[in-house]
Amino acid sequence: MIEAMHRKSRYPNITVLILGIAVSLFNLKTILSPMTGLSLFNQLPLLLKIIPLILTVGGIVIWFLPKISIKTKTFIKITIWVLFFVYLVENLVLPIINSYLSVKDLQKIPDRSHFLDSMIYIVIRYWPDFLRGLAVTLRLSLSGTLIGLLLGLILVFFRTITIKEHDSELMAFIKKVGLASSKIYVNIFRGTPMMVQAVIIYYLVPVALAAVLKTPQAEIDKLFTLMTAGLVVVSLNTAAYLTEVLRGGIASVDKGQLEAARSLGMSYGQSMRYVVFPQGIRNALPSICNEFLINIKDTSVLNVIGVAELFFVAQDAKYRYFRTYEPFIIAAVIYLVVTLSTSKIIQKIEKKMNLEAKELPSCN
Amino acid sequence: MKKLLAIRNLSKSFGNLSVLSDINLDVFEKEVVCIIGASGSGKSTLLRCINQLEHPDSGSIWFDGADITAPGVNLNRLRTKIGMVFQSFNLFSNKTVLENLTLAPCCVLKLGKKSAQQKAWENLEIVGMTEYAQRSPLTLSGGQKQRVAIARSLVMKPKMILFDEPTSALDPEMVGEVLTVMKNLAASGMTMIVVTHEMSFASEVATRVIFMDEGKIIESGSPAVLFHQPKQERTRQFLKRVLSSGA
Repeated sequence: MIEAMHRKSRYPNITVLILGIAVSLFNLKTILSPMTGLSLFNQLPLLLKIIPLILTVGGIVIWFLPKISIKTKTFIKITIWVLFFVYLVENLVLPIINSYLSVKDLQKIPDRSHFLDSMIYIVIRYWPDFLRGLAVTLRLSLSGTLIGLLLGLILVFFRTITIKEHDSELMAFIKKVGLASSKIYVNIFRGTPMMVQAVIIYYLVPVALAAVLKTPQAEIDKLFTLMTAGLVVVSLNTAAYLTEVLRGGIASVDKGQLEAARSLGMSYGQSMRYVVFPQGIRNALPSICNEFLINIKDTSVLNVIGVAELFFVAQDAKYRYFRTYEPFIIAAVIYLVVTLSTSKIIQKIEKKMNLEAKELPSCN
Repeated sequence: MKKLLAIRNLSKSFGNLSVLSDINLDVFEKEVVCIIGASGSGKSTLLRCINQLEHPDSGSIWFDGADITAPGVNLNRLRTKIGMVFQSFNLFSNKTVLENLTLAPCCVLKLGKKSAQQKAWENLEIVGMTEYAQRSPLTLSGGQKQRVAIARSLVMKPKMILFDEPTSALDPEMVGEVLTVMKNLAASGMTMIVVTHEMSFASEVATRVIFMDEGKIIESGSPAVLFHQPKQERTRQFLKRVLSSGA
């Protein structure tokens, strides 16, 4: 048993091996094709350039020697990590700085063949617009999720209604209408693409409003701006999804909670509002946060009606600089950074809440 | 003594399964009625019909002189007068112990926060749970939860409390504390209907014991008579089964 553990520990762990290979390849590249512009290694004589390769290969070879102490292994690991970061700077950060320096005074976008230079040029010239686009995206998705949540709460109230035998005929009818309309709403909005909904709402609603309210079209258009239309689309769509999410959360609340509240004389509405809904929303919280993440990405379809969110800005940059994919790579990086950091924050919050619940025994 | 509850020809079925058939029962003020019987005999359903958590199919229930099965009865107002304690406690897990007690007085009786809290403290005192007022119910033991649940039904100043197997979900060492609270409550003159498997509690505290089987009241009488000289064969068999198993 101990022998087996010892034998296993003789092999370098997979991270060290992969990093070692990366460092070696980077090293070969710096020797064979030196970079132009700023560089950590270009000025060094060949003999010094080769030292990292010797360190890496040597370290991994030493690893396989019998009776290597943990201390040595840790030392090798740290060395390889440091080398890796040095090469990361050399091959990722410095090239960006180099192309920044080369394009910052240019009046025209660099040639198509200089991919990185073109991207940096677009970022330098267009970053305020990208930021504005990101702000619109975040604003639409955050307020859309919140308004959708409020609408979802109202819809789920009707969705969870149960018709009882002793309800009066009028009451049963009202309940049936409420239940059916919330079901129809959810089906329509979940069953059609948001892009189609956006077009229909943006072009149809103002016309319909003008006809119904008998006010001039221009006045309605002033109120029903692009942003309003976008927000309406996101909210209505989110409401449909969150209704189902909330229904699941509420269904997982113990039935006894409602009975206890009712047995104290609280009305159905009061019981739902003070006892069942708070617990159901808590259950549904991870999915609600997830919906926000999805909205950050899905608001991009609003470009179809011309809302100036992140994707729209990227498309604008495409027409302005005649570059087909560079602006979208920039947009993709921004989306990725935002969604990943948001999901990290959400995970932290969820962990905190779950931890609290885990320490405690169950209530029922 | 005043008649508080009168049940006449009560029947209830779930689908084809008849749970209660033709129940007749009178409960007077300050009485402690214990209902015993095998599981599935309709005891819990009977309790749930009394505060209308289940709607009976036929028959009538008169509470405090009014027919509460009649259409148009304000059930919420009725339920403030009939407290209920559940087997699984059903404390509101999103609220603290104190909030569990103040929620209904604030919502239903429209009390101010101050006076609701004062009432809550008084009732926590009765069940000996004042030091846990700010805790979450999730952190309490089963016995403590049930004591809070009793206090929660007491804040509404009910005329009668229904206990649905209040000690069945408890560890044996916690049964005592809950039964003590219930005994004190009975001694203070509260009208109680208790569905229970605690035969010693029934024989000690009950003014009347009712044996139910297959949705019918088979026998009813004082604990001394029902436990020691049961008239019906089914009662005798049930008692033999229960008492021999050491309960």
